[in-house]
Amino acid sequence: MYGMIHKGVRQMVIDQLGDEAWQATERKLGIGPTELVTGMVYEDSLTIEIIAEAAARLNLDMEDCLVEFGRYWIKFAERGSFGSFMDFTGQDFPSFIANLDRMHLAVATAMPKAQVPSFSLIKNSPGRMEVEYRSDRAGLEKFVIGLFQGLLDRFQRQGTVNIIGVTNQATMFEILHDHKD
Amino acid sequence: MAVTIDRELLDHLFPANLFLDEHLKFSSISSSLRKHFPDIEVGSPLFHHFDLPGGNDWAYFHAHDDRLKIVHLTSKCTNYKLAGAIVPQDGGYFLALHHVPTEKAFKENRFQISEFPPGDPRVQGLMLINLQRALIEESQDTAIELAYERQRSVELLDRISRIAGYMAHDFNNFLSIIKLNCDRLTREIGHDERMERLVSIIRETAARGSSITSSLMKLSHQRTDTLMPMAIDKLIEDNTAFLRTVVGSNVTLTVNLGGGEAQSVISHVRLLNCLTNLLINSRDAMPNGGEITITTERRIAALDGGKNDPSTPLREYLVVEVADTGKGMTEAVLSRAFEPLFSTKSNGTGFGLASALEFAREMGGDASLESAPGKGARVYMYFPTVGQNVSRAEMSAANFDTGMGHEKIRILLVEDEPYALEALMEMLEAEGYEVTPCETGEAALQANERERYDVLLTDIVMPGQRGTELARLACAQQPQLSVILMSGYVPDPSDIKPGWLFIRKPMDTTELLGLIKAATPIAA
Repeated sequence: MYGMIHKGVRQMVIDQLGDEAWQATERKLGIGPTELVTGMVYEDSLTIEIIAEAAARLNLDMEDCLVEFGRYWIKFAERGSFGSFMDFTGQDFPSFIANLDRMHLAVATAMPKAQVPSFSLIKNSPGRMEVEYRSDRAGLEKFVIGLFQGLLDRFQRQGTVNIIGVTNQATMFEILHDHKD
Repeated sequence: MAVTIDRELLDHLFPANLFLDEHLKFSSISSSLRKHFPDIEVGSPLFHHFDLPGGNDWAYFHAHDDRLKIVHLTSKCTNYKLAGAIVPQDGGYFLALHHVPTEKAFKENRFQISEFPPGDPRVQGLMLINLQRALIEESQDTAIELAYERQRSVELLDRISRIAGYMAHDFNNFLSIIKLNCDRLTREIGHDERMERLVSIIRETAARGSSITSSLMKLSHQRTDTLMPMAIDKLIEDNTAFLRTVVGSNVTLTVNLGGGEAQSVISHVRLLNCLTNLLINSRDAMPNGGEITITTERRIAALDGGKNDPSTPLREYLVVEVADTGKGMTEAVLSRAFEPLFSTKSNGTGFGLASALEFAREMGGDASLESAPGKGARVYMYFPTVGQNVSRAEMSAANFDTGMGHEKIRILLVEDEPYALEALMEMLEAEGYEVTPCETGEAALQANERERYDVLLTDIVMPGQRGTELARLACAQQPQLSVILMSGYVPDPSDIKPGWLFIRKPMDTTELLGLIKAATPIAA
């Protein structure tokens, strides 16, 4: 995965546990700033190793950590260099979800080695959305739940995210939220 | 065929749309335009807010024409632009427009994807530009972070290096005390095999400790060499075989040594490094083979290390000349040849000649270069000769003649470690020297004011005044004073004046006595 993910994990650990905790993580994993270059694509195994170490330090199991990190990721991206990129993607919840693929297309164009996922807004009714998620990577569904929760936070909504269907190719998410549009 | 499009679909297909009545007053504007132009009110005239490129021509709208007309509108207030088509309709006009993002508007992040029609190829371009900006910002942050990390690593290494240096210094002091007291024991016990064996074990163990401190000093980037008088001819002679391997089989190395027993105070390690660098330079200047000659001779000169001081006195130097038959240098190259980092070789470091000059000057001498295209190059290194000639063999002779018949050479001994001071004093007195011991530089200066001394033998790192500063002040009081510095650290060469001697702790007694003898030629 690209280095921005690693930077996000770092910031989450620093925000919650302080600088020392991240320095200890770096020492344990033998990593440093060269493993945190935003535009670099690293082995997924390294990313998983970093998240697993963060989970251990945050006293979370891996799944909860992925949810937590997904939610944090949105905050991290919007307050950093990618804030305006996210603003351009959408300034309300449904349009942001609907434009996720266009955003990821730009990411994939700029960083050809990044394996970006695909999100399709299948149903959008007041207070309920169905979003289909496809990815070449397996096991990141909890991270996606966290991402949707982060987006609910971003657009000041309360809601829940559930997985309502899983096939070999795709996972269907249901997002129930307090409708404001 | 008439098609009815509801407002939602219309806004989706043409996010920037507006309706005008027949008087070109706004009758409706889309939510996207409303966002960018909150001041526009229904009923206000178009030309209060926008300009047409060729002037605000009402006729352009009213002219009867079945074709769609292209329109470009520029905001009067913000320079904001819209472009699209005019669609005449009953009682007015529908303007199907799109945003023309200016750099400023885009930088200010005024847009989002839904303000562009579906399939608009500009969206991807704008996305990429936006992403590129973010990545550039990230790269800048990363560069700063990496620079900071590098700085942190350098500082950490520096700290480790300094700690290693302090540790080496302190260990060397202790080892010095152990070695000096071993020598005392040897003198005290006379011929007792068992005791001699025990002393030898202690001495050997101290020597092993000394090799550990040498490693620590290397870790802290300190030199571990000693500055002592030595015959450069002998040094070159002893290392000629090694020097021949440096030049390789393609080049003939001839050595003409004419310096005899003349001695200079130098670091033999650094002199060998210099010679090696100069030979490599010469060898590289002769890719097809040639000849290199190392010549030494004594010469009287007045060198001031490039200071252009006309009062510099004449003195004797041992000159080491390295000459090659290579392609030589142009005047331009020659003028820059001693510059650090300057090299005409693609893989050259530019340190060879620069370090030769630096070394020669640190030793109180100088270096110069002669060359011309096609005529090879000659490098001269000048080292001041010192006192009477004492061979290294004499200095390190196991049964160094400590004869009590010295004329009473007076030594001002300064050492802040009481045990080392005691052992040194006893050893020197046993050798027939008259010793005044001092534990501080201040006490030594007071003694130096009262009495005349031949040698100042001082530790360098001491609380209060450092040994180098003490030596400078003491020499100002008594210019004839010979200086021998001793330390677990090898001092910065700029702290050592030409002619001062230096011995590294833990000291070897015979080497120290040899240095004292070299410093006091009258006793030789």
